[in-house]
Amino acid sequence: MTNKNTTHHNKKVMRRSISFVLSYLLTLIFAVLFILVGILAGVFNDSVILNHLQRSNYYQSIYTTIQNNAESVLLPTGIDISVLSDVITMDRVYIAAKNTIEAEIKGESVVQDTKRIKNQLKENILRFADEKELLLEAEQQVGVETLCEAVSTEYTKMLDFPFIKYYVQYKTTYQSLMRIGVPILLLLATVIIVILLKLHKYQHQGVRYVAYSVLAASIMITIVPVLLLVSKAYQKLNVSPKYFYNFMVNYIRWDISVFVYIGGIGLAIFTGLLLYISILKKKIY
Amino acid sequence: MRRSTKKLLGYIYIPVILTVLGYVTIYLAGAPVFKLVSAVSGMVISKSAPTFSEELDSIFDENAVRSTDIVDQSEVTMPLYETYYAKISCERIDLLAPLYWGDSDKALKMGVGQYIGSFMPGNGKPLLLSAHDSTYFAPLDKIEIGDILQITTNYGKYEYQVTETKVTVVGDTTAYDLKKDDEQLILYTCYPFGALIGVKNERFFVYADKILGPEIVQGGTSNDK
Repeated sequence: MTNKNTTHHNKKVMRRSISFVLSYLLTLIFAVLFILVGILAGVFNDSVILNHLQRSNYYQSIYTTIQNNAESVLLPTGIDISVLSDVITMDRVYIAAKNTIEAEIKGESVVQDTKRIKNQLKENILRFADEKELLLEAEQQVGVETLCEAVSTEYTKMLDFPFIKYYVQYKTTYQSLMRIGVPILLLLATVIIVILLKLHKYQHQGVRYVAYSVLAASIMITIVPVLLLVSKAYQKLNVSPKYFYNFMVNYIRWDISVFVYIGGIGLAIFTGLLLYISILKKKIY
Repeated sequence: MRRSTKKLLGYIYIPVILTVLGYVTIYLAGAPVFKLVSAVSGMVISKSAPTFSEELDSIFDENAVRSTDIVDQSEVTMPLYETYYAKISCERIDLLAPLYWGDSDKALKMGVGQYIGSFMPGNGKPLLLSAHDSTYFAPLDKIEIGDILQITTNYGKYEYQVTETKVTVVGDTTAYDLKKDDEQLILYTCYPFGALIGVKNERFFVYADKILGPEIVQGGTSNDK
């Protein structure tokens, strides 16, 4: 082997090694970018939350729970549970709960208006006492007020969804992280891609290493979510009550699925790069 | 191997190598986070998907009630919270209700609830039971000293004779002593009875002493009759 050939071979090995290291770094950058985008599109997506609350029958369930709790409040008093009719209705709970969650997502504080509930309940109890020909003394009048207050407290308590408060808090932090992290990662990726393209005599050789990275990052991002979806491990979540469990399982399933979709997009980009490589090669030969 | 085949294979093995290296890097870099996540997930992930039943559990089987003088501790099934484990009755006042371990709203809706800081029948220690005066404990309005209260469990039938009744203010913890070495059945409910509306700031207590029923012992031999 002549000196010229040896130098050429060494340069080739060096170029390949550098390209591989850059490709490895690019894989990590793409993987982190995919994860960041996946979390934003899944976990911290307002419409996903609202959609999955609807799908998991959250509103219907809290209506039933409020009704049951109100019945438990009434039980010791001996008042018939029929007094609850027209007090806590599905429509009323649905509108109030949805408005509360939507407002909290926007970061607005919500104060529940329970005046109508208390007035309606008081009216029903007085009618009930009237029908039973009961004369309400001062102490019992106070009792009615206390009872109405207790039922409206149950109503307000159930409309509160602490999960949203944590969600908004973490989302704000995450968005700050995205604002700093994504531009830095994109800049790094661009620098690496430019170096890869400049490193090789022919552009398609550099693009090939970019394609390797895109494919590797797509595989990385897809394997774990696929395993989780197949094993259904997310169903073993130990949270209660049932309506919260249903919501969380639906929500987590979607959050995991998002990474599979992003992996799919990565594969589509990889296919596009393969086509681009073949076009570039055709231009040369 | 042809050059084109080699390049084609490169699209398989290079991404695979990069994937493995990527996972190893992420694992090493995120090891402390993974440990934390693994510790937390142990608390929120159970072995199987939870089941949510609207019905309360039951371990009471009236057809399998035994009649013995002594019951071994190992033969007594400790009920889970909100489980129907016995039946309480008093024939003279028409009291008949399921007895639940735990006195949650859910249990009190279904029957009589037992405070879990008290003891199951047969342990020689007090039992503290409650129910609503408008439902299962409404008959206590007619209870008198000398009445017999019965508790039927899977491991035996118990009888308690009423010795005292009294009215106290709500939250009066001197109304019972759960530490004493005496099998006393204590029932309580809201007072006054039947008042449809009003704040019930008083509690009606019934005290009864054990007169019959098997004793639970450690390592004892049960003798079915």
